[in-house]
Amino acid sequence: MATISLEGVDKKYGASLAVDGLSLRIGQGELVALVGPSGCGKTTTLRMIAGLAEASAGVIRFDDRDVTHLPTYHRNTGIVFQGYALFPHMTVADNVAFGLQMRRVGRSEAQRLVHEALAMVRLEDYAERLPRQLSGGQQQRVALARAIVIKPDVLLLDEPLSALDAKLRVEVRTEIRRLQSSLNLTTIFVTHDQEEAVGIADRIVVMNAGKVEQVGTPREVYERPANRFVASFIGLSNFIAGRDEGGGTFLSRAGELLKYEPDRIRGPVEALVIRPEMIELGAAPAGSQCNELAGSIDTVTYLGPLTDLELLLDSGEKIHIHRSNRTPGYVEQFRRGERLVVHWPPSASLPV
Amino acid sequence: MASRVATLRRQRLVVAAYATFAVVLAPLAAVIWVSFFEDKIIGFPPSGYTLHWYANAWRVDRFLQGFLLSLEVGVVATSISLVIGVPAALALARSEFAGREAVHALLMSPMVVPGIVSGAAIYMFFIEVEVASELPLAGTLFGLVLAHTLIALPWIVRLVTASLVGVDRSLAEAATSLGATPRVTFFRITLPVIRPGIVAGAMFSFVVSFGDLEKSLFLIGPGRTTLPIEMVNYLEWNIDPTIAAVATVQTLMIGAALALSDRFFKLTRVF
Amino acid sequence: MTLAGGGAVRHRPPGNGALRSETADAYSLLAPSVLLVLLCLILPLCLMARYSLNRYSPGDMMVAALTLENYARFFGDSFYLGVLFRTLWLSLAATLACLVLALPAAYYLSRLKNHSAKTLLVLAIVIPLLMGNAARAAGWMVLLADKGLVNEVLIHLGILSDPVRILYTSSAVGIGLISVLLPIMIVSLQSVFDGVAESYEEAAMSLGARPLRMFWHILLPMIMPGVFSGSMLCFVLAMNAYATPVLIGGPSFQMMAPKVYEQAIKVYNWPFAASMAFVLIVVTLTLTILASVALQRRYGKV
Repeated sequence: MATISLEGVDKKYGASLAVDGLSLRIGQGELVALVGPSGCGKTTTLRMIAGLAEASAGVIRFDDRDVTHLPTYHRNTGIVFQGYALFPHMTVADNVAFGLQMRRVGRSEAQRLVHEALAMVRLEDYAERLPRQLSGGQQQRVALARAIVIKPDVLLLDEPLSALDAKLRVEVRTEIRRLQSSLNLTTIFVTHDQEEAVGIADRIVVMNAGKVEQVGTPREVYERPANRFVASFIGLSNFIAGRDEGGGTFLSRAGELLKYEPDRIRGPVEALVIRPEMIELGAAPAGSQCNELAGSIDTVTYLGPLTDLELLLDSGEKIHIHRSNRTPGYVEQFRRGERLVVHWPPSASLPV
Repeated sequence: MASRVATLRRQRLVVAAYATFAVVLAPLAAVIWVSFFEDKIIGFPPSGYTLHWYANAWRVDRFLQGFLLSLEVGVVATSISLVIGVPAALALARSEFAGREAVHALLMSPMVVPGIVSGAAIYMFFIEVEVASELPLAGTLFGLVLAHTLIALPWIVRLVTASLVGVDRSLAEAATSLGATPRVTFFRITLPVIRPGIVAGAMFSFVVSFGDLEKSLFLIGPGRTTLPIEMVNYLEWNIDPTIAAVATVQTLMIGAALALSDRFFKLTRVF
Repeated sequence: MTLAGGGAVRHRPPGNGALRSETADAYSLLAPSVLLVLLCLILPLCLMARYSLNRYSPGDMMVAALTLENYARFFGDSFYLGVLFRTLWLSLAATLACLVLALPAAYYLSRLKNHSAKTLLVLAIVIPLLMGNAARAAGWMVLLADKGLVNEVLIHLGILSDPVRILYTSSAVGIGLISVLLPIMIVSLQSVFDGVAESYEEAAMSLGARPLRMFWHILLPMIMPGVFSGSMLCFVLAMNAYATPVLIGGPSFQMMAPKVYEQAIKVYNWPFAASMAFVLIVVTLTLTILASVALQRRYGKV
C-alpha cells in the first residue's frame, strides 16, 4: 500500500487547463474521494495517477518513487473503470487472473488467489461465466476482484457506481468500503455524486474547473465549507446574502442582523449558509443568541423520511427547511401561506 | 375503423417494400432459374430441368482458368490487405494525431474513385514504370494482385475500425493497468475483440476482388483471364444456361462468404 | 481479513520502461497501407492528370506537351458532351428512382422485429450487390434479351406476338443501374431509420398526424443525412458505371466510363482518355460538393 503524492500537477489540452496546479497527499490505506461537477478535472487527475494520461507539469509519486512518466503497466495500480471494462471474450475467472498472468504467477497459485478474490466479492460460483451473462452489479464486483487480486499499490475507481440503480449503489458502495478498509488499500474514488463521496471517504477533495476547492473529512467539508462553491455542491444549502459587519455579525440584504461564529482566519464573508436540517421551527428561545427570521410557507413537500418546507421570507428570499417526519402525519400541520417563524443557533450559520 | 385503415396502409407499405426487393433480386433469380433449364436456348416454359450445365461449365477450359485465377488473386489480395490493413485500422481507431481524418480519407479513396478511372491510371502508371525500369508490371500477376489489394484495403480498414468503435478504449486501458505491455494487450485483448471485423473484412475483400471487372480488364496479361472477364466475353455472343450456371456458381460462392461474414459482423453495420 | 500471503508475497508487474511516443507507433502501423494507396492510386492519378495535358499522336501514341486540347476536344464535340449529359441524366434518374423505391423497403426492414427474417432479407439484398457486375449483367441479359425470359413469358402468355426490344435501350440500362444501386440505398436508409426511435412516430401520431404527414414532417427531416449520403453514393456509382452500360446497353450505347476504357485500351489515345477520366471525376465531385453544401445549409451539419 503506497502513499500517493501529487505536486503541482497540470494537465493541458491544447490551450485549456483541465487540471491546474494540483497538489495532494494521500496516506497509506486512506480512501480519498475526488468529487466535483462534470469537467472539473477529477477523472483527468485519476487518469494521470493511473498513467493513462500524461501530466503536462508536476510530479506524481507513489511512496518515494517518481512515477510521473512511468507507463501504466509498470505502476501496479488496480483500476475499476466506469464501464467495468471486463474482457468480453474471457470468463470471469480468466478476467480476474489476467493481472496475475502478467506478473508470471504460477497456475495453481493464481487459481487460488482468483478464488479468494471472487470469494471476497461473493461471486465464487460465477467463475466460469462470461461477462455478458452477469448483471451490472455483478460485473462491477468482478471488476473489483480483478483490481484487488494483484495486490495493487493503489486502487483507483472511476465513477464505478454511476451505471447502477440507486438501491444497488448504496449496497455496492458499502461493500467497496468494507473491502478497501480490510485490505488497507490506498484508494482514490472519483464520483460526481456528493452524497456518495460523503458516505464512503476518509477525506474528500472537492474540485472545480481543474482546481481544488477544499480538502477535508466529510464532516469538515459539510459542516465547514471553505467557500460558496463547496457549500452549494456538498449537501443542500440556504444562502443568505449580505455584508459582513465583523465580530460575528452579518447584515443581510434585507436588513436583518444575523450572528455566526467567527472561528478561524477567513477571507471576507460574502454570504451565510444554513443547512435545511439545522433550522428549528418557532421563535428563538428567550436569552439565546439564535438568529430568527419570519416568513410564509410557499410549498410543502412530503419526501418520506422528511418534510421539506419552502419558506418565503419577509425579506423576499426563499429558504428550505427540512424536518424529520418523526411522527406520522407530521407533514399535515403545515399549510401553504401559513406564517412561520424559524430560528437557528449562530453555530449553524456557515460563513462563506 | 382507424386500425383497419392503418392495416391497409401497412399492407401497402409491405407490398411496396417487397416489390423493391423483387427488383433487386430479379437478375439473381433469373440467373439461378435459367441455369437449370433443359434447352440450350432460353424458352418459356422450359421443357425440363437439368444440372448438366453446371457439369459442362467446369469443363470449359477458360471458365476453369478464370475461376482459378480469380480465386488465387482473391486469396492473395485479401491476405496482403489484412496484413497491412488491420494495423492501419488499429492506428486510426486508437490514436489521436494530426491528419487522422486525412489519412482515413486516403485509405478509403480506392472506393471513391471510379473503377475505370483508377484502372486506367494504374495501367498507365505500370506501363511507365515498366518502360523506365525494365521491370514487367502491367501484365503480370504481381501487378494484378497489387491493384486488387488496393480495392480490398478500404473494406478491411472500414470493417475493423467499425468493430473497434463499439469496443471500449478502456479494455486496453484495463489490460495495461493490470500489467500488460502493449504487445500483450494487442494479442490477448484487442485481437480477439476485433476478430469479427477481421473476418467480415476478409470476406468483403475477397468478394470485391473476385467480382472485380474494371481493374482486371486493364491488368491481366496475355494468356491470363479472370472469371468475370470470361463471363463478359461469353455474354457478348451467348445468353444461355451455361453462362447462367457460371454466374450462379459465382453468386453462390459470394453468398456463402457474405452469410459467413454476417455471423461475425452484422451486414447492416457495414454500410 | 487479508489476501492469504498478504504483504510477504508481493507480485510486481514486469520490467521498468518509459512511455513511448504514441504517434510514432501510429505512423509505423499506417505506413504500409498509406504507401500502397499513395503509390498505386494517388501517384497514378496524378500521372494521368499530367497525361491529359499531352498530345496524342497516332504513331508515338503520346507526345509530351502542355496543352488543353484534349479537354477542348471533349467540350467542343457535341458527341462527347452528349455522352456526358446522357451519363448525368441517367445517373440522376436512377438515383431518384432508387430513392423512391428504397424508402418503403428500408423502413419496412428497419421496423422488422423478427431477427432471422431481417437477416435473410438483408442477405437477399446484399448478395445481388456484391455478386459481381458480370454475373448481374448476365442476369439482366437473361431476362431482357430478345430471346430472354421476359419476352418468352409474355409471348407464351399471348400478351405479345413478337419479342419487344428491351435490351440495349436506355431503359434497360436504367433498370440495370437501379438494381445495382438499390441495395446500397436500402441499406444506407435502413441504418438511418434504425437511428430514429419509433417513439418519435408514436408521439406524432398521438398528436394526430396521419402516417403520410408524419413521414413528411417528422421522419423525412430526421433521415435527411442518410438520404443524402445514400443518394450521393448511388449517384457517384452510377456516374462511374462500366459493366452495366457496356453489357446491358450494348456497344452502341455511349456512357462515360466505357468511353474512357475504349480510348485507353482500344484507341490507345491516352491523353484523351485521361482527360475524359478527369472530366468524369471533376463533374461528379463538383455536383457532390454542391449538393452537400446546399444540404448543409438547409439541414445543418450532415
